[in-house]
Amino acid sequence: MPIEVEHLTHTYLPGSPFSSTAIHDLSLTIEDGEFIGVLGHTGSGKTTFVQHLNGLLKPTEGRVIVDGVDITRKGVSLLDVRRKVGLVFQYPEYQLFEETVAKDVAFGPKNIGLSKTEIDERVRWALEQVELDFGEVAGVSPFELSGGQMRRVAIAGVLAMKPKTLILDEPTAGLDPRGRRAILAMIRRLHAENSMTVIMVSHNMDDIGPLATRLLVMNRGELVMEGTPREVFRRHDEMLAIGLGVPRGAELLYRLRQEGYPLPDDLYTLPEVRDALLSLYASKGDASAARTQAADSASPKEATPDA
Amino acid sequence: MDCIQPIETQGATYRYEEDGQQAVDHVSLSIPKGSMIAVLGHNGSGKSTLAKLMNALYLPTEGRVLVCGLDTALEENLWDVRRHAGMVFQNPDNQIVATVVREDVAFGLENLGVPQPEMLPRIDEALLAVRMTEYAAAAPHMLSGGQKQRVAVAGVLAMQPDVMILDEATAMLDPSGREEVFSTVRKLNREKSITVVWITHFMEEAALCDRVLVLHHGAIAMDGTPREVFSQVDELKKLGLDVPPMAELAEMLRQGGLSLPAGILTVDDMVKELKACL
Repeated sequence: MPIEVEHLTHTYLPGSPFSSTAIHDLSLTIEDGEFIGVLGHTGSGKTTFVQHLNGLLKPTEGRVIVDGVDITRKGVSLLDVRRKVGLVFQYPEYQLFEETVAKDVAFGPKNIGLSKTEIDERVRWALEQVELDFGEVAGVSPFELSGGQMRRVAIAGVLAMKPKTLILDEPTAGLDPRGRRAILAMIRRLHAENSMTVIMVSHNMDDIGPLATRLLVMNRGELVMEGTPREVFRRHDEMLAIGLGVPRGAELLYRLRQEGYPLPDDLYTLPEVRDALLSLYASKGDASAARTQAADSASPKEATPDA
Repeated sequence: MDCIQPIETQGATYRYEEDGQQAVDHVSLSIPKGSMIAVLGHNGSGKSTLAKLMNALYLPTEGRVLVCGLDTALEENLWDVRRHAGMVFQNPDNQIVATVVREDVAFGLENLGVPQPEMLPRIDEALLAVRMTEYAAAAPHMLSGGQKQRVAVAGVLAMQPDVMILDEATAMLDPSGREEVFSTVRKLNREKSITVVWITHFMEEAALCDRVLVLHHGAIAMDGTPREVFSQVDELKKLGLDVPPMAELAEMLRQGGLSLPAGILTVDDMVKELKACL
């Protein structure tokens, strides 16, 4: 079920003095099973872009084709589109409204007229997917849960529609480190185990780098870079120029290359950066070992040789 | 009035329910004038409760909290405490009250009964300090998150506090918004000697403060300079916190046989140290 975007343009408040083009002539195809990271500065159009993929926004120009169906045409059943493409907004926990967790998660399946048994099954399945214990939370008010748990309930509500594609807009925003790591691990598992296509909007390079199979980088409403994380993160200067950074590991190797050290330009995770640095260290042999000794005994500042 | 000791807590304890757990558990700490202290801890560790004790939004159920020497538990001190210690919260949309930026900054001053002729220069000065002068007549809803938070900071600043307490003020912002709010507050701290309590989940912000306090189950688990705290990689992880990526990499490299000194936090630090041994 590929998603094809053809010449998508979106203008907010067209014809008014506040008219602004959020997306300009964007074309791309998302294949089944991809894990797409959408990066961009605030105002780059990334949220506007993903809101077109389930028909929440209609393009001013261009088309979005999901599973062979042009969802921008008049008369298309948006309910069908939403069953295929689930969208988790930023701070989705603000949209919880039901008395109990189970009712909240059941809201979508109920709306598409599923049987009671089917709804029950889906609620159990969805809560299991987000690693919440059905017995523990089903009857509880969602508002009694912690922020991280509330966010899981909101994600479960979208999963209960059994979408083939899951879009998450800044799913870790505002969470503490523990909550952030847990949500990321959960998304990774959803992608791996359910062969779901995942599209995740983020401005955290360290979050998205290890997860995404492909990155889309947006700037001022245009798709300015596209490729694997490795391909994108090696374009250090361009990323900086549009107000984004690269993961710290990539930044470090970049800086060391500037200092003349022969280090590769396509690494970014900490383990691979460590390996590259250790092998460079090993290749330096005895001379540098002696220098390290000196560095050990002297204060760091004094031991720094002039570059 | 001169404020010599901006914040002092003496065994401060807070329980939400009478028989419940202590959200803040016998915390004794003193924050020297002009310093910027980061408070870290996972959700539920008591960070926000401690913050609210610092400007009398909560009163300690045990122990004492002194703001510029004033006991927050005494009702007659309430207004003075709030004037000395201003607070900025997480959600930029929940703390803007007026429809024009300038009026929003005026809100606190009006509440304090500051006469109008004195109010105007204080508002202008506050907006200038957060670099929002050109938006004085703008509608807050047209601003970015970072700009809204700077307006909130200006609102507190106009009240000329000795202490500013920011409770995850950057949590909902993008990286550039975070940087603009953090550096604005850091500058106010340095140039106007305002004492700052900076509550955050972002280790890289904490790394730039003078002192880092880690809370766990309502008690102080770690307290020291950023270098002291962030060199304890395992301990931080045990407490559910992140370690700045370069501190983590330094640890990995040490285990791989490289001898690197303690206290590497930033890419700059790492480049410097690696140049010494590569």
